[in-house]
Amino acid sequence: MSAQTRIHGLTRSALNALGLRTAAETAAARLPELLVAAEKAATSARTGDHTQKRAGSGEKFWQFREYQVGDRPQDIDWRQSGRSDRIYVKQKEWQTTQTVLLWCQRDHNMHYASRSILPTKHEAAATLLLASTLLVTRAGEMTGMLDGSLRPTKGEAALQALGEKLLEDDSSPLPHHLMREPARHATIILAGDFLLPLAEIEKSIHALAGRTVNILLLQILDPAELNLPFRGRVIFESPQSGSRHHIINVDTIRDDYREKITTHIEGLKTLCHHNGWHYLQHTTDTPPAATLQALWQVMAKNRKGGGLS
Amino acid sequence: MIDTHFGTLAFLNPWVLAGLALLPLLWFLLRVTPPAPRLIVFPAARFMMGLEARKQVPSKTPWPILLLRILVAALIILALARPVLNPGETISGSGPVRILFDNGWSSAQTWKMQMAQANDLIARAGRERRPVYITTTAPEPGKSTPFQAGPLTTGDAEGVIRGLKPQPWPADYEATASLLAEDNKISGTHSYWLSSGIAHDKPDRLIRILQGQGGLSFYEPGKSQRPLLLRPEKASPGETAALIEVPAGTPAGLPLTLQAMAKDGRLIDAQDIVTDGSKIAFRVGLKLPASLQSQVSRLQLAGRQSAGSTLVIDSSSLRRNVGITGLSQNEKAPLTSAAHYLAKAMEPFADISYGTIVELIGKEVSTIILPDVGAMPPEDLDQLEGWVREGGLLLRFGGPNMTQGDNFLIPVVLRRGDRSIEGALSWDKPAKLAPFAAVSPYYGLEIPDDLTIQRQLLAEPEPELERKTWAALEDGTPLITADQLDNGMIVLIHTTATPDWSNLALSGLFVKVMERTIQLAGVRNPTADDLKAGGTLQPLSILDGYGNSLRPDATSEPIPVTLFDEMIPDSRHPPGIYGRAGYQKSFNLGARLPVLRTFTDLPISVERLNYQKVNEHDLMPFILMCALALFMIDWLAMIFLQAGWRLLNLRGQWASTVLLLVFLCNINTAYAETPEDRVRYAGDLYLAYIHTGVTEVDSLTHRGLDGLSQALSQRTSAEPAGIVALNPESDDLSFFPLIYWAITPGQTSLSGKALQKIQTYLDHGGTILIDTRDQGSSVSSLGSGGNGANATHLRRLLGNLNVPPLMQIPSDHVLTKSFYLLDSFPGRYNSATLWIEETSTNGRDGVSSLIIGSNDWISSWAASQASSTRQQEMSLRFGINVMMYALTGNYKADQVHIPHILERLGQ
Repeated sequence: MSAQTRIHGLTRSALNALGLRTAAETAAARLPELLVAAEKAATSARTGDHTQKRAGSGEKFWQFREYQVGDRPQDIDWRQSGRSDRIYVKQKEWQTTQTVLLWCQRDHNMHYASRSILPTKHEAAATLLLASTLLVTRAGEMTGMLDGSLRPTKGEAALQALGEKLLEDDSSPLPHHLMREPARHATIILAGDFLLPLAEIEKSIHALAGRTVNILLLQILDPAELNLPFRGRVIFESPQSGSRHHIINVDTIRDDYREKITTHIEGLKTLCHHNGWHYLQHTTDTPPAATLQALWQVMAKNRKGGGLS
Repeated sequence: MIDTHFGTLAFLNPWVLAGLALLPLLWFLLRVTPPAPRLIVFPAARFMMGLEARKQVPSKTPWPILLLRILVAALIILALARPVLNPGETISGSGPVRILFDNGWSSAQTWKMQMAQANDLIARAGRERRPVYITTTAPEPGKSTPFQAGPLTTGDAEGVIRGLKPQPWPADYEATASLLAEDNKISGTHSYWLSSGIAHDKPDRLIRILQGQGGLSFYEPGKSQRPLLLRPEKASPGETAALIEVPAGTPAGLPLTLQAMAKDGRLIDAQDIVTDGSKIAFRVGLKLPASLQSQVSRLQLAGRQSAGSTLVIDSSSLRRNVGITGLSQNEKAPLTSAAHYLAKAMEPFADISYGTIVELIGKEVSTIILPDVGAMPPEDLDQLEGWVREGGLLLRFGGPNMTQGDNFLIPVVLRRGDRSIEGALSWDKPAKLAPFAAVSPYYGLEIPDDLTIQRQLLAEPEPELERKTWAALEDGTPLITADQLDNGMIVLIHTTATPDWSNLALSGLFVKVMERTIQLAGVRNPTADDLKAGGTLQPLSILDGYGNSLRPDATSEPIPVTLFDEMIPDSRHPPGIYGRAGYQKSFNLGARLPVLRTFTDLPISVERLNYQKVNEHDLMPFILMCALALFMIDWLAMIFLQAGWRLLNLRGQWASTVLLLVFLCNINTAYAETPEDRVRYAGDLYLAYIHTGVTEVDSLTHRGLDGLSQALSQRTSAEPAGIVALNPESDDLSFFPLIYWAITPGQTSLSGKALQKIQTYLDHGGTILIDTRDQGSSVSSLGSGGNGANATHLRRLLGNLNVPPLMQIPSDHVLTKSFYLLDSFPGRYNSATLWIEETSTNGRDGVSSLIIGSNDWISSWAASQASSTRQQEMSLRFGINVMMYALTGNYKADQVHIPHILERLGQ
């Protein structure tokens, strides 16, 4: 944890090439650990039923049905047809390859943990995203980075590259630019703390949503950000902007703060609801498995419905 | 220097107290300065915008802490003001201060008072930044001038004073005066003479000089504390006596105790007297049996450790070393041996050794006795003659052997043959002894009536014969003759030391004659005009100022024999024992000094003071300690206020904090046995294993022993009460009949203490089952050849143990039948090799202290019994056998013989 803080401080102070490289290497050194954590979380989440339960273009046999006009002749199953007078067409189960695009907030805000025994928000986010990547990959679907830095790929080989990407530092608090439009039914998972004003969030997400509406906001919060467990005279400094707020007695503002942050979260939820985005909240003091379960269910629902529209 | 007195409390730097006025300011400052806010980097800081705290954090320090800090500040100011309790008087004058420290023989008895006074003076002088000069009165060892040092600072002066010690010789005021007179530069020096109260000399000149240099204050002890002197006193027979001399004017009722001490420091006798106020000398006699009297090596006054109150007793009453040649006492017929009679006679006052002449000379005996030895090898004769010439006493007895041929080393010329007074061919009556002449060393001894001499050696008449004769028969023929040979002496008793020729050896006179004779050893002539000749007496043992006997050092010089009587102990000749081999003279202060005089006629201008108990105390260190303690309390309070609250917040309850504290307190004792544990271990059977520190191995061992313990409980009457992990570094191993030791590379080497414990355990009947757990790479032997990885570690761990030689277990060993009949000892592996002691030490009941194998039994025992294979079953059986072996010893080995015993009984 201390190494993390140090690296973070370094990148903040001097973003030279050497520093970046060291940071990347240090971050990569944490990757196996993260992968293990993700693996653990993934195995504990039940993957459920992935098949689409209807005819479509897939590998597996689905049903025979009578030939209708418009069916391609090469789809006729002659063996089955030979058993009776009717002509049967063999249909296969509809299987789609879905693309899941990930974005993880990686700025200074995310490198925060209120207690040394807790993971930082960034670590929690990366763990969750990697775990869901694992699940998605096993379901035979593709994952990639939303910003296009990593093309959607299939298979576990993607995992390593993805993990490295997730651990890289990036100062943008919200997803901003896209290299390519996401595919129509792609699912986008956005992990971050979303503590910026709601208007900015909405604008940013609208901008990137494009054609797809399968967007999932995974809000990662430290318990301290919800409860404000400090006491006495405190100067709060924003890690991103560096602005300071001098509070002479934290005890007296705690209720107000909680109200404010609750309002913000409610606002975010409402925003998601209106736009048809999914919203999940994860606090870093809860095990990732529970959140992952919810995440998976949302994604499965997405796939089943072929989108939420 | 302004001294502000508050009763008996004074401040040396009183103006510092003005600092107390600043305390209210400090109070104000501490109150208004709020604690610094904490800076927290917080991602959700944006939400703080617009939030206003309604009320200030209690930024002022809690009042008890504030009070504490004010108190600390006040104490520091107070300490800087240098408070002194019961301040002593200031020193007169403003120049340097001279301390004239009496360190003659008498000062040892007043040393503490002098030291206290000197330290007080130095402290007072130091406060006024006045240099200190220190001068002693007694000459330094080996020199003729006393010690002088100065100018000194307080610290140096204290060091010098600490380094002083009382000398065992009188002070030399003249030398001191000369030393000070050279120092004319110093004027305006006020002198303080710390005297012992005894004037060793005329002090007039010294006082004049001291007064001339400034002023003089004279310190002396109170009348009852003055030094005493112990003088030797002529003792009546059977008594050890001494004279205690007190200075004139000593009050009545002062109790004094004379102690007689042996050479080894034993107290032999003591007698108390009380001064009566008028006499100045008190005679004290200690009535002691002769055997004890001869052991007294010194007389001293109890509680007055000084050379003056100590009398060393010289050799005239000390035990002599006497050598008897040729004969050993351990003969089968002791009553025919001269050595027997000589030993019996001399035991009370002499240490007797036996051997050849050469051996005896090597032992540095003072007397050599030749009972009935005639001719001697020339080499022996030469050596003996040389020894006698150097001062030895040769005592010869007549006998049949001396009647033949020429004799050498005899005082008188002997006729051949002997004179038999009462024999078959003799008409004479047995001769009696004539009374001893006045010049004889035996003068005064009573001659028993029944003493008769039947045979004697006869001396050739010669002019000197009468002078040489110490004892003669009634008819005038000499019985004891003696003559000098250079420094030594030869004494011949013309009859035997056995009752063969006379009953002298059976009489009480014999003892006394022997005693007087051997006391002459080293004295060239008993008639006391012997010291006239040249030669010196070497210091053999000297006294220090406190009357302790020391080995002489380079500063003590020998005393010429001619000057010995007039000599007074001085810096080159400390009191003690002087002499040479076999001859000692005591050199006591008491025997040499004139009557004790006190300082009675000091000039009126000299300030005369008595030593007083100095009880000035500097309170600064004490107050600073108080301030430090309060500061620590404050510090702890701050820690609690800052960290403690956070702990409470996080944990939400007090209990966890308390538990944490308790844990922190107990963390060191986590492994240590408590006395309750020991009671438990001693009361029941526990299986034990060595805690290796490797978690997997330890937990495996624990489970393995648990499995074995269950098997034992189910199948045998041994019911282990539990499993114990032992740390040989700290735990007591002695409660456990068997200790399992799984060897693992991870175990750190044992300390010497732990090895010693294990060794003790093995030596006192314990058994250790060592499992290297690496079968395949066999143990083969502890000493060499073992090539298993763990065998190497075993060697590393046990290398320093005294391990007996090991052997492979024989097929009929008790281990194969102590409970189950076994032919192998399988564990997880099944190798036949098991190493035990080659021969069990006696007292171990045939039980090997070490059993070493490599079959990894614990793994097998730890496996669940439900799914046990045959090998596991056999392994458990081995475990039970080992346990039975450790518990019952060779009991089953004895069973082997039962068929034979029954067979014999049947016949």
